[in-house]
Amino acid sequence: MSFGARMARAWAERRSAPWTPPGPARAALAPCAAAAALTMTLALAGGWAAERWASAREAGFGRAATVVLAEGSEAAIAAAREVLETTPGIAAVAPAAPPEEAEQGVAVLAVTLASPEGPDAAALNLRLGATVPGAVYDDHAEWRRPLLASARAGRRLGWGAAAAAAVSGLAVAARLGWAAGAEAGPAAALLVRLGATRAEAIRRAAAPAAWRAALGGALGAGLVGTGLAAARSAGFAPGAGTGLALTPEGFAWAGLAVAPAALAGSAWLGARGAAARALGPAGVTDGRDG
Amino acid sequence: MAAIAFRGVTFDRGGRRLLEGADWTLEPGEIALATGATGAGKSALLDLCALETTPEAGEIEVLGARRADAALRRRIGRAAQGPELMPHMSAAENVALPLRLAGLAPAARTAQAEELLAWLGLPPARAGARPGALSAGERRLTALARAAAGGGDLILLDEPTGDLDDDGTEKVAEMLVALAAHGAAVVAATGHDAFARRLLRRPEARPLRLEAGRLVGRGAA
Repeated sequence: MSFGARMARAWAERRSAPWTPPGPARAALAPCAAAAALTMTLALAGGWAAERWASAREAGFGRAATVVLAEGSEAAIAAAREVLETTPGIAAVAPAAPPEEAEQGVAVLAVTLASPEGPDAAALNLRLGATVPGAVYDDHAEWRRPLLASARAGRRLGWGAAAAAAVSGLAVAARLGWAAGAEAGPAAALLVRLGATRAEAIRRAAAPAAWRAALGGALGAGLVGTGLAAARSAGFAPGAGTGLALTPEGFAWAGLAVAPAALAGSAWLGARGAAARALGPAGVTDGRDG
Repeated sequence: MAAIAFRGVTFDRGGRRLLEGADWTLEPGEIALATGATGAGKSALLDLCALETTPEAGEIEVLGARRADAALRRRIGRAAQGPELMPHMSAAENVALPLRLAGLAPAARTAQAEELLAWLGLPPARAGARPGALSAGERRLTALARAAAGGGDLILLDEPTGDLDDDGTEKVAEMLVALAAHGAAVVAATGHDAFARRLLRRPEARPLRLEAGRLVGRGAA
């Protein structure tokens, strides 16, 4: 049957009773899927926030180094810049304000590394010292390492929480889908006795569970999406200004649709499994020798 | 071609031998009234006729098929001893289920189902009620109407008059005769003597007794 014919048939049947009777598990699917989608979507937004925060930290601290010049004359600064700009592994050099506690006359150059590894610090110090006496290159390895480690840990934490929420939500949807499929099992068996194919009966039994999970999931994800968008418009987005804003950015908004689709798929698989089990082995309902 | 052909069928259920090398044929347009003591195997005989269970030995051919697939089931109208109705559907929707599976449009199948139910004595007002709101007799009529609705070539009924009064019994007998007149083969298992006597007055009906592992009656050897 073509897609158009299917749609026409579905429209003609819009007031017909569902193929299989509703039951408590099927009824529970929509609110549970809404709650699961709410949690999953928030956790997903948290995962993205952690990702953005970690990336910003890595970009900000992961490639920062400095050169301190004991003598801050224009000539010393120009010489040091020339050495740095001809060193592989250094992306940019710019003057920076010396720390308040530094002695008078000291100059500081902010160095952006091309990669977190940077150039060989010892070799660069030797070249700098030969060109500008008293110049010291510092890649801040001691304090950069824990910051980068914390960025990685934050990223793992965010995605880990999103994964945990996804696993638990999908497990709930699959279990409720299974229960809904089992409820519809006797009706599916009756449909087979009346002439439905095994595949058709399983489809009739599983579809309502998938739709309920999809609708509940869309409600939960929609609430989160609307809430985050409204909060951003009103200027009090959670985490805003800390680098950990929950509000998705760009294509991440489309990712909010992942939870309803995944929940529907999970409930559908569970319901199909239970309905197939209720119908018995394929050979029994699809035909056997008399 | 016979609607049902048993050739040397041996069948056990629950450790008891119900049939032993039975041969039997039923032609289109014939009604076989299966009778026998309680536990003689009347319901099991219907399962065999629907190819829903496998005999220990022998061969069964139903409407030219030896396998029960969806195509064969669509040609068989069946009403079990306990009416198996969808609880969330009205009586008319239950009757129309085989027509819905066949792809008939809602209005056409509802009209057909209501007509069939009205003919059996269930008025349109009751046809809209769900099984939970129907009496046992009305549920029975609904299941029988559903068995007939598909226009099957073979009708298998288990205790079709179990919860029916005299009028209902008469209507069911008329329905079976009408179905046979349209070329359907009918097997009805019954322990209801009045129904059996009434039906056996008709030339197209014949008794089929299950006795000690044998099928006794016209068409059985």
